[in-house]
Amino acid sequence: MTADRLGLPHLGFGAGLRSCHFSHILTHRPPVGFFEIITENFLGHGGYARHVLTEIAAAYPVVMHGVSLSIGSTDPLDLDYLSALRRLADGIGAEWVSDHVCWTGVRGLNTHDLLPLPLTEDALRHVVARIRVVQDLLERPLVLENPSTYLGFTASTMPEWEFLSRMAEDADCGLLLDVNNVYVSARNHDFDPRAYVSALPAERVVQLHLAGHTDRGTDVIDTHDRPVADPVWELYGFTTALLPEVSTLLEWDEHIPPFDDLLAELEKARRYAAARCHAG
Amino acid sequence: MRGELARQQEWLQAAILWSADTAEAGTVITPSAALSASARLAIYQHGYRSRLLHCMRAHYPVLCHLLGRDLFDAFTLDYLRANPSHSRSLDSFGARFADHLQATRPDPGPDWSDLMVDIARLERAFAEVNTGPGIEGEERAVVPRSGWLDAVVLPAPCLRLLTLDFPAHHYLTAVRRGDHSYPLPRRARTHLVLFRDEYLVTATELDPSRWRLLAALVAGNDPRTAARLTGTNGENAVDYLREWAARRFVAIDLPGPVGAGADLENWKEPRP
Repeated sequence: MTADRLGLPHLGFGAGLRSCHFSHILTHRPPVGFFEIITENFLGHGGYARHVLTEIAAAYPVVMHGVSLSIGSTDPLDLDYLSALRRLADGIGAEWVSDHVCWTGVRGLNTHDLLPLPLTEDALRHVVARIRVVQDLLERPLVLENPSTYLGFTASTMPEWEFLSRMAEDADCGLLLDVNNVYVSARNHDFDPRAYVSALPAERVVQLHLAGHTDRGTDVIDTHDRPVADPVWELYGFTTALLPEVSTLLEWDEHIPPFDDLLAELEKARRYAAARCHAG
Repeated sequence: MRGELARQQEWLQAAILWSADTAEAGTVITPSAALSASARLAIYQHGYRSRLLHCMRAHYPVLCHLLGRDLFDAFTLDYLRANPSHSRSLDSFGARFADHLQATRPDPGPDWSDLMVDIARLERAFAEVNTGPGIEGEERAVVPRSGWLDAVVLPAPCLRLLTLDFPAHHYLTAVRRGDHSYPLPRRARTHLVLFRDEYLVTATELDPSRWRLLAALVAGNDPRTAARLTGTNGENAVDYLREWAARRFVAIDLPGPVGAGADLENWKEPRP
């Protein structure tokens, strides 16, 4: 029987670490439970940002969130990248390492996008086998996030929640449940987001993400450039009733506001989580 | 033998990068209630280009200012077609942009195209020095009194040497500071040293003879050989080397055991 969250800690409410906030964080030490870094912003980095990360990692728990693992790609795993990933995780004492259930390129190319996988038995076997290798190399559990997707494959044979659930069980890995991504994909693929969240293995969900999106009417894009939308707050409340002791992270990557605005958004998350806990 | 998953990924990647075989979209991609398969594919095609354009504008803000957004984007899309990313890092994606601009500019190049290439080279070098390994946290080296011509010279990892056709560093500094009315530089061969200390990158102009000596040292030559190769008087070479060691452009290692301080001094106040 796997322990809840794979034995990983509940870190409370955290924010993405972005360079425009370095000075504020170092000066004011704001009250957040943890920081999440974009892994690739620090791999092989020896400048001021890396220096700041060392300072922040000494004062706060830090988790690593990558965008380049490409766990679903049919290219070979990049062992140099994985070695660098491990060195960074060890160096800053990262609480966990996460990335996305996606692929970013094949034949040595990188689109720098989180591309969707066909949801097939073939793809599931492929991803599970690669997660096992990565976990062996990193010597820690890998935590994988549901991406926002804007297209589906005619070849798919199962819904995404089934793919993720079986993947997590078969590979014995963790899940990062991006609540905004569930909403975005639900709108783009016309499924029930609550059914999606309810179907996941709760004990494997290590972290939640919140972010803003852009609703274009015909489709919804995960833009991380504005406050969390009301329907996502509603879904977050539903999710925290099912998963009351899971760390929550707010992502904001474009038109980034002052840090106090992030704190206000995190306070809202706290209120939603507390209300659902009490209601439950 | 390639499996079905590999074929699906290669098709989608080609469709995103090069808009290849998009007629097949309807057989691979499902439509949504509001969008056709092609329209859904177009979200990824557009996202790919806009993401990398955004990244390049952030990495080359001064070049983008110089050219204007439309022309900068046109050059970047041309670069993207010729050089799709092979790197895990977006930081590395634009590494060959200056070479691409150099190779595709009009020949012979008018002033603006030479300046464009210089700015691209300078912004790239600045970024590499700014984010690469540095010497922060290292103790200030002990500088020897003598034995300079036989010393082993170790260039700082955050040192870059550049030759440009324009003194573009003043323009770059001004635009990055927000002074968008700063006049364009006039053509003048410029020998630059980019260096980072305490997380601050500085650009220093050297006269050509000194720059060549430093370049010979950075290339791995010992001081005696570097002086000979560049026709530098030995006494002058030692003076220059002492100054660069004091400024931490290079570290100095003397061959053999170092005497117990008798031959050493600590340079607390480097020469400007």
